[in-house]
Amino acid sequence: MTSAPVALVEPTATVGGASEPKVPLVALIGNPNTGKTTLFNRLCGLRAKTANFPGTTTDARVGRFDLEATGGRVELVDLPGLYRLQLDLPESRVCRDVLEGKAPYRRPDAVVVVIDATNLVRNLYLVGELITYALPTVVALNMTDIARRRGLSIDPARLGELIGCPVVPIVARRGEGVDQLRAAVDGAVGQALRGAPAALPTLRTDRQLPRPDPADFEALDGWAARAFEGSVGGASAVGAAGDSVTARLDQAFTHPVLGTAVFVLVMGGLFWTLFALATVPMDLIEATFEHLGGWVAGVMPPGAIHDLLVDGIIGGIAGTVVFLPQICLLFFLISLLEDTGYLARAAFVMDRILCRFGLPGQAFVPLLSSHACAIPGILSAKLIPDRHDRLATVLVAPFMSCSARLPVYVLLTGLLFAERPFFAGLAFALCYLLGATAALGSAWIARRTFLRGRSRPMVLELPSYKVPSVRTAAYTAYFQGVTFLRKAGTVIVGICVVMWWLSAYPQVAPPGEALQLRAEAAAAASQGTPERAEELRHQADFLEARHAQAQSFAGRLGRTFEPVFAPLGFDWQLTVGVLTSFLAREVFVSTMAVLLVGVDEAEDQGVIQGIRTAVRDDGTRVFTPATAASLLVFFVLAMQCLPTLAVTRREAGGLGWAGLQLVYMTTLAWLAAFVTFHGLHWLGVA
Amino acid sequence: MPRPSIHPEESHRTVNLTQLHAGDCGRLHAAELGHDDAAILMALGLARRSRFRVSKAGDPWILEVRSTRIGLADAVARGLQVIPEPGS
Repeated sequence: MTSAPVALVEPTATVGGASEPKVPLVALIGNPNTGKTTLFNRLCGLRAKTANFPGTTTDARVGRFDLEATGGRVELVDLPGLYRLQLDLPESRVCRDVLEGKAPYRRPDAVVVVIDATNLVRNLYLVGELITYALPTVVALNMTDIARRRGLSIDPARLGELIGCPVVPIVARRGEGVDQLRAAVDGAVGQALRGAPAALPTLRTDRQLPRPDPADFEALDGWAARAFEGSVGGASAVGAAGDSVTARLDQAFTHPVLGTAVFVLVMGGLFWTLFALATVPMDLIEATFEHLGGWVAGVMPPGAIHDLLVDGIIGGIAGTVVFLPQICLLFFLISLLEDTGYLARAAFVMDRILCRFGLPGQAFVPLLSSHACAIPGILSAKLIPDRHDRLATVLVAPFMSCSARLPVYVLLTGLLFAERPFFAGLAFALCYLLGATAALGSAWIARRTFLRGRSRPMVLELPSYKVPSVRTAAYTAYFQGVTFLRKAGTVIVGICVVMWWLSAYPQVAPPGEALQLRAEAAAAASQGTPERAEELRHQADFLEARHAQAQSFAGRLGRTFEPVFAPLGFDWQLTVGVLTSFLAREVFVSTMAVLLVGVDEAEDQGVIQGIRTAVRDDGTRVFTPATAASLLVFFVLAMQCLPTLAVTRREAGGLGWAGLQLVYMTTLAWLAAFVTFHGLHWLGVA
Repeated sequence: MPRPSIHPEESHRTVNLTQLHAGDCGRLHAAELGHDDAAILMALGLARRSRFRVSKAGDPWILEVRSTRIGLADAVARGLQVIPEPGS
């Protein structure tokens, strides 16, 4: 997805249409963990949009806030967090291009750089680089409260004189100093709008330090150290990390044994919370769409438009929106964890295991999240800085057993081990293990072939632990939810409509046998035997549904593709189930119920017994132990989720990656199912 | 990372970072790492001659460079040659 926020790019650098005047653009920049996003949320609130920087998969957030100098509002672009502009990393390249106004970007009118008062020298490296861009620059000196608690008193005015930019002390988390910052930005934007000379920085004083050469690290380091010493009262203040709590916690959280135990507890708590809390809104969404579908079905006459609306569009939207609570809650919880500083430590704990398979420690969040749903898992892979590491994670994440597979696992393990719950449970657990093994094994293969290279050994800043911001987490959840609905949702709903159409058309006349049964049912009803009439109608419904499925495009596809799946033990009915579940895996269960038993739900034992005893055209059982095991293995490994493919395409940056994921996973699933089916036959389990 | 232009005597005192213990101090002498890793270390403030203190020894290594705490995988730590210094 390469669309960019409209204010960020030339030549359509207007908001709302070509007739509106050009809105000033302010860039917000800073090191990671400086509270930049918290400040962005403070300034813009919900008046923000998320898109990608053109040609990249890096998120660009653009918001608006009001200023006096412009007589209205400015656009604020939240640039990705970075340590240095000079680095050859994606985030550094994007920031350089924006600041230089390189096509297609529009050069900002002013810059706000957020720096961490508790880590001033290193943060000043970026300021030293920025002032060479000759843009009006305002420095937001954040976390001054924490600096004061550590005995570090910084004189912002003095610092501003030394570096040549206005410095505004703020506490973004509590909103302190934000009004003063807004006023300073007002001045900088006003300066730019008045056409002040480009040779800035914003302040010019006699005390200003000579500008450093950004390419000379020692000069930059010396400049930053002098600015720091000059604003805190001497070199004696330099050098103390000054956070003994963080040091003590790090000993525990990165310890090989204790750290792993804490990690298991934290992640277990996260996923328990996710599953426990998301269930309520998910049920609510399902119930709402059911009512909506029922209402539309009630007011509209039967026909093609009725079916399209009820089964295609409303059903498709419901199937997409139902994931929203999990996605928002997951990002809310991850944002809270990230804000505490714990995630950086957890990455080191997991790095010891994952690096053996060519994945970085940061991959644990996407892989664990994929147990809920691969879509938020893939979206959270943004945390991984290296492109090859990120791609490998995105490609293997759908191997992890997601919640959509659960109904299929329940059905097939139940068919395999009826009356033997221990073995059914064991098979269930083995499905999870098989998925995780396939993910790690595939990552290992990818890193030795088309994504050649080891995962980068980890070098991470370990930020101080702090109380997380619920407000920032809520904004993150909101923006991720909106992004999911707007981008993936449109694709997903389109796909759902197509799959519904394939399953529902062409509509055919009921078979003669069903008509005969309905006539008998009518006769039975008139003879005063309603139970018999109901039974006959039920049989007629079953025959009609089965006939409609068989004659639909999906049914015809089932017969066409039957030879492909026959080596796995699947007949045309199972092939239809496999094909329709490309929409979403859980569709398999309802397809089997409709096709084999003739009802929409497969939850009560009667239906499961019906599926177990269902027969093929030649009279043999549809589900033998070998077929059920083969199908189970196929579902563990196959890429049967079109919405996930849509998200992979977006996050990996191309259709080719989604195609590779589909082909690789489906091929692996086919081969593994083939080996399972014939292996069991060879062992005498038919 | 290019070799530092420091006094030849100092190179005789260099040791691998993994030979230091928690609480030890030192200065970076050379980083035998890939370009990206060396650049990130430098951006985090750990450049040649940068003074650091070992906050935690063992995987991951945690170094304090001024106010920045940097976590390093063992593979990175093994690539760093340092000159031990008395603690402050």
